[in-house]
Amino acid sequence: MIRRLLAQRSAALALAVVAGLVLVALAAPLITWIAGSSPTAFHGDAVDPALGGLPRGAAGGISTRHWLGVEPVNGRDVLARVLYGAQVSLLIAVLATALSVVLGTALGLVAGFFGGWVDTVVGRTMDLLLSFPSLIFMIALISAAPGVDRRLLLVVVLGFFGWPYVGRIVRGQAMVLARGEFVAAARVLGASRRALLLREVLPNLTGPVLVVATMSIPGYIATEAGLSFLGVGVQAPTPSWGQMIATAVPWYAADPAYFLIPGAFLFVTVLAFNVLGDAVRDALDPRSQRR
Amino acid sequence: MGRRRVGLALGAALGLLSAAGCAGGGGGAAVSDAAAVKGGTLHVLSTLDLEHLDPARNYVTSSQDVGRLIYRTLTTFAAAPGQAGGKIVPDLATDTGRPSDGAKTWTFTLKQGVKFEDGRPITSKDVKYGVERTFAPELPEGPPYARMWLAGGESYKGPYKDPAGLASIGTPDDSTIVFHLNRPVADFGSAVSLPMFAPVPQDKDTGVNYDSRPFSSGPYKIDSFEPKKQLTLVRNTDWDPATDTVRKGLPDKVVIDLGLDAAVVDQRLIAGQGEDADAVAMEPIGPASVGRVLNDPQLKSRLVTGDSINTRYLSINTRHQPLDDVRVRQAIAYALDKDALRTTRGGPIAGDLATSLLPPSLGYQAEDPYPSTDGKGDPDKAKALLAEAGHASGLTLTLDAPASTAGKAQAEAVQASLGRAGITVKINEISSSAFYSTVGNTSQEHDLVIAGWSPDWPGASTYLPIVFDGRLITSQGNNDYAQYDSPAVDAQLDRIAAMDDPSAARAAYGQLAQQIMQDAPVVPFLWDKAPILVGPNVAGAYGHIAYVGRLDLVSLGLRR
Repeated sequence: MIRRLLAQRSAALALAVVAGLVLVALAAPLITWIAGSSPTAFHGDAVDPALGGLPRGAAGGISTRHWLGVEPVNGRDVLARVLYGAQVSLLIAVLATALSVVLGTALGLVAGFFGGWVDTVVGRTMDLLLSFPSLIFMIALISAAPGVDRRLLLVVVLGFFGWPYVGRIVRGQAMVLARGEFVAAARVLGASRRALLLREVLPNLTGPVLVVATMSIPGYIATEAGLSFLGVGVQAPTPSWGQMIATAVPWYAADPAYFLIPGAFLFVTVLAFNVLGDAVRDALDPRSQRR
Repeated sequence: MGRRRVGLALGAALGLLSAAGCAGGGGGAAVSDAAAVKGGTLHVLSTLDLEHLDPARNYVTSSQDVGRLIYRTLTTFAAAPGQAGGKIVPDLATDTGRPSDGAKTWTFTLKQGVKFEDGRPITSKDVKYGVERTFAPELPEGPPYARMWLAGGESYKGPYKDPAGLASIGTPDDSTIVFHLNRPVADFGSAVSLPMFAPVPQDKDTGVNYDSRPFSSGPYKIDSFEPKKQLTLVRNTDWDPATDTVRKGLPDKVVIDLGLDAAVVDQRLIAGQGEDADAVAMEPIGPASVGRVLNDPQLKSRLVTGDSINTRYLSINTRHQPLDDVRVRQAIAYALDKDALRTTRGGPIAGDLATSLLPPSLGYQAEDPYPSTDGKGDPDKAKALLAEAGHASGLTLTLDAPASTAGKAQAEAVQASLGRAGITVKINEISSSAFYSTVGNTSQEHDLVIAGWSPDWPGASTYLPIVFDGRLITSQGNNDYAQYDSPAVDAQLDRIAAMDDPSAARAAYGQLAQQIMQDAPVVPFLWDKAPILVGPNVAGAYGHIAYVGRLDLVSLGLRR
C-alpha cells in the first residue's frame, strides 16, 4: 500500500509536507532554542510603540533575530509561535481524530454487526448528533466551562461531535461484512461473537477507517483554528494558528506578513492532509484510482 | 461618569482602542473651525451602542456626549479643548448656582426664552420633574447624587409612585428652582451638569419608553432611533441659539451609525470618500491604524487628539490571599510593564503612562512611588519584595479580562510582565457585555481586574470616594474592584467631604491619593488620550475632557 501511495507524486509530496510539519512541531523547543526565541517572551524593542506597535524593519520585522518577524504590539517571535502553534493544532487534531475513530468504530461496528435495536439506538444517536448545530453547541459548551484545560476540552468536544461521521461508514461496511461468506464460515466453525467481531470484521475495516481518519485531521485543524478565531480556542498565552490569524485581521494593511505567515501554514497543512487522504483512499481502493 | 468606569466601552467591539495623544498632547491638536458653515448632514461612526438616552439613566460618557445635542441641563461643561473644557458654565440657568446655608441650599434661575421642541417654555417644574424621575426604581443605572444629597431622597420612590413630588426641590416660580440638600456640597453646581438635571415635561414622560424618544430641549430632536443601528437627529427649530453659549448647532442633521466594526470605521475614515468626508469617529483609532495615520501627513492632519481625566489601573483584590499582604501588592506595582500595556492600546498616542491616582489633567502633580525605567517595570525589585513576603518561589494569580481583542492583548501584557517577577497569571476571559457585572460581583471577582475611572466632573470628589471608600463595597455592582477597605482612608474621605473650601479639599484629596498609593490597592498605568479621525470636510473638531477625549459633538460643523 505504501508503495502504491508513494507512486503518486502529489501524495509523496503531501506526505513529505506532513512529515516535515510533524517533525518541526516536535522539534519546536530545539528550533526556538537555536533561533534564540520563545513563544511567550515580549520584545518591546522589536516594535515601534509610536506607530501603534508596528514591528520595526521590513516584512513584519523579519531579521536574523526573528526569522519570521514578530507580532505587532507585543513583539513575540512569530516563528516560535507558529511552531508551538503547530504542536497545539496537530496534537488537538490527532487526539480528536483518535477519539472519534475509537468511538465511531466501536459503535458503528456493534450497530452494523448486530443490527436490530442496537442499530436503531446507535443510528438515531448518530442522526441526532449529525443534525445538531455543532459549532454553536461547541462555542456554548466551551465558554460555559471555565477553568478546564481548553486543549482537553477541544479534543473531547471535537471528538464527540466527529464520531458519527466515522460511525456511519463503519456501520455500513460492518453490515456488508457481517453477511460475508468468511464470517458465515467462521460462525459455523464455532467462533464466538467476540471473535467474529474482532478477528473477522474489524481487520477488514482498517482501510475505510484509515481513509476517514486521514481526511478528518485537516477538518479538525481547521475547526480548531476556527474556534480559536472565535475566541473559544486554546487560552493565552498558548499559541495557536487560529488565534494568530484572528489577532492579525485588523493588521492586514499595516503588517501583511503577520497575517500571511500563519495563514500560509494553515493552508499548506490542510491542503497536504487532504491530498494525502485522497491518495490513501486511491491506494486502498484500486477501483477509484485515477488514470 | 458613570459607568464612568471606562475601558470596556472603548474595547468592546472587535476593537482595538486606544486613546491618545501625540507628543504635543492636549488641545493644541484641534482642527481650525474657521471654515465651518451652517447646514449639511454630519455623520458619526460609532462602534458602540447608545445604552441609555433617557436623561435619568444616561451615565455612560459616549451617550452623554450625544445627549448634550438633545437636552440641556442647568449647567454644563464649556465647549473647549483641553482643561478649559472642564470648566462648568451656565446652560439653562443664568449662573452656576447660588449656594446658601453653608452650601446646603442651592438656587438656580432659568434663562428667559428657553423652549422645548414643541415651542412651550421650559419651566423650573420641568427640571424638578426630571430630577424626581431619577428616583424611580423603574429607571435605574443613573448617577447616585440626587438620592445621596437631596433631603428626603433616601425614602422618595419617584413621581410614578409618589405624584406629590419631592419637597426638597422648591419651585417658587416658573424660572426659579431651589435644591435643599442634607449636607453641604461645595460642587453641587458641577453636579447639575449631569443629564439627570435635564428638564422633562410630565405629559411627555413615557416611563421606560422615554429612553427611545427623550423630548428635546437642545438644538436637535430625535427623528428616528433604532438601537444598535442608527440614531437620526434633526434640527429643533424652537431652540434659540441666543440662549445657548455652548452648542453651535451647525449641521441640519446628525446621523449616528451604531455598532460598526472598529476596523471598518478606521478604514472608512482613512479613505474619507463620499459621505465619509462629512463623518467623524466616535471612538479612538485602533493600534493597527496608528502607523498608517501617523506616516501620512494628510491623515495626520485629520487626527484630533483629546485629553481626558481618565485613569486606567490594574485593581488588586486586597481581600484575597496573598494579596492582603501590602508587599505582594507593591511587588505587582513594581513588576507591571506599563509601557507594554500602553502599546496594546496604540502606544504613546494612547496617552501618558500613569504613575499615581490623580491625573495631571485634574491639576495634580504626578508622583511615582513605584518607579522603573521608562515605565517598563522593575522585576528585580518585585522579586525582592515577594521574597521578603515569603513568596520567593513565585505565586499564581487569576486576572479577569473582557474577551475582546483589546482585552486579551492587555491581559497578555499583564501576564508577560508579571511573569518576569515569578508571578504566574491565569487569564479568565469574560464576555465583554457581562464584564462589569461579573467583576462587580464580589464573589465572582478574581485576583486582578483591569479597570479605570473617569470622574463625573473635574476633581477628585467623584473618584476617590467612590472607588476607595470601603463602606461602599457591595456584593453586586461594586466599583471598588480592589475591595480596598481602610478605616483610615474612610475617615479622611469623610473629613474632606465636610470641607466647604474647594481648594483645601483639592489639596487634601491629593495627599489622600498619595496615602492610598502606599497601600497599592491599584496600579495606575495610563492617563488616556483619544486620537480620533475626522473626515476632511468636518470643522470644529476637538476632544473633550469630560467625554474621555471624544469629540465634542456640539461644536462640529461642515466646511461646505
